[in-house]
Amino acid sequence: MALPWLIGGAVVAVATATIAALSDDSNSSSSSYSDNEAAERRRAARERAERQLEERMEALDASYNERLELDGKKMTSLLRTMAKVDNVQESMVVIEVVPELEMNPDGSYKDVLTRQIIQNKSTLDSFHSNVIFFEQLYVGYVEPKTETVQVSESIDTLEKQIRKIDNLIKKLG
Amino acid sequence: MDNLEKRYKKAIKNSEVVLKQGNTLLQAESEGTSKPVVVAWGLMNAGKSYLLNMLTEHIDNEYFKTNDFRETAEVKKFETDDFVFLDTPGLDASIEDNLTAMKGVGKADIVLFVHQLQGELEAVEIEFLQNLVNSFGEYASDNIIIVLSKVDKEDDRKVEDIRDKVLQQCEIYIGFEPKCITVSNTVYKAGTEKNVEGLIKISNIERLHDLLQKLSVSVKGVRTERQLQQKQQLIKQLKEEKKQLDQVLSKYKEKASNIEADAKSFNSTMKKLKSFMVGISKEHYKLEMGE
Repeated sequence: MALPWLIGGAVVAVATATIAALSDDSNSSSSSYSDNEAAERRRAARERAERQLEERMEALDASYNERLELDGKKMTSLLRTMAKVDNVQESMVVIEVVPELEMNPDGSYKDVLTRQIIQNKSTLDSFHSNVIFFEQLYVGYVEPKTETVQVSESIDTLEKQIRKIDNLIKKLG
Repeated sequence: MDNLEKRYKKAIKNSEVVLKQGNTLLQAESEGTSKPVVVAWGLMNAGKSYLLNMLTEHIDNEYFKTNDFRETAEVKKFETDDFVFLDTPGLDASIEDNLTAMKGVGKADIVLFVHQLQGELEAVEIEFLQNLVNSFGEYASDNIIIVLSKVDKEDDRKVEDIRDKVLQQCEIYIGFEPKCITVSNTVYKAGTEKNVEGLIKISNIERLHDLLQKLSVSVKGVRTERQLQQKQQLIKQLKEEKKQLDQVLSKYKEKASNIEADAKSFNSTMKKLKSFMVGISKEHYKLEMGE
């Protein structure tokens, strides 16, 4: 998997740092009642803040997972109209800071369609690059489908045959 | 196999046939001789090869093989100073032979349609003559000669009778009375071997040769015109085949277009997802950092 960072790890780090800070605060506090009360209030406020942070993080995680699942289903369904799609799983990828350019960083390319189906090279390249990212994201396999290959080959053969006819008409004319 | 696949295969197959015809025509044109091409057609054992041997002066050593069984399976060629003679497989020997025989049609300037003088034209002969006439078009009546062979085997009255019937058949089935000449190859051979002028004369081989010489004058113009007609006909056929191919192609392109639309939709979903991933991870980072 090209996307390794665990948000869980990050949350743990933040929590650990917070707890450490809390301990430091307790050690430096005075023994007076008012001081204790103030410390208690600060601790309660910090705990509230931590809880809120955790809740917001969880909400982000949930929305992230929901979106990945939804889009995964949609893309699988789109791909299945033109390709064999196997072993698609729930995405294991977790939230991390990944610039869009680094998604499929090695520029891997998978031939599923041909220029007979998509003439625009940039669209075709983008599609094949996206297929690789899809495979990484959902641990699936995408392979060319016989029917789609047949459409490509038929178009190719028909276009060649028409060119032959045009050439012959030119020679005969 | 679905309907579109069937149409695809049919369109490719049919277009291949017409492409082959066109390429053959161009090839024949590039290899073409300036001499008139005389082609002999007729039923098996009608006497085609024998006749061509006599016309090419192969009196003792036959160049075009003659036998009671099917001897000529391919078109055979002999070139004299004035003509190119082609011998063809006997009609009705087999479907393949008939097809091979038809191959020479486009090359023929003058046709010697040889019919053995035993009776009227048979159905297969009439059918072949009709094909020849279609190929020659308006020049058919000038360039198709009916040769009634082996006349020495029948009496004059019967010869005349059969000749009239054959010409009547031609009038009915091909629309005109072609030039018709009765010949005897054996009499010509005997006359030549024994140097008897009378036999040579009554064999009518020299008369046929003179007729060929006479026709050869107008052959070049006719050939050019026929080639032009053949080309125009082929171009018409090619355009028709192209139309069929275009129709099938547009159906496949419709399919391709649907696939492309799905692929674009996939790309768009993936783009939005990537953007979402970047956005949410930034938001997550900010929270982590307490921003």
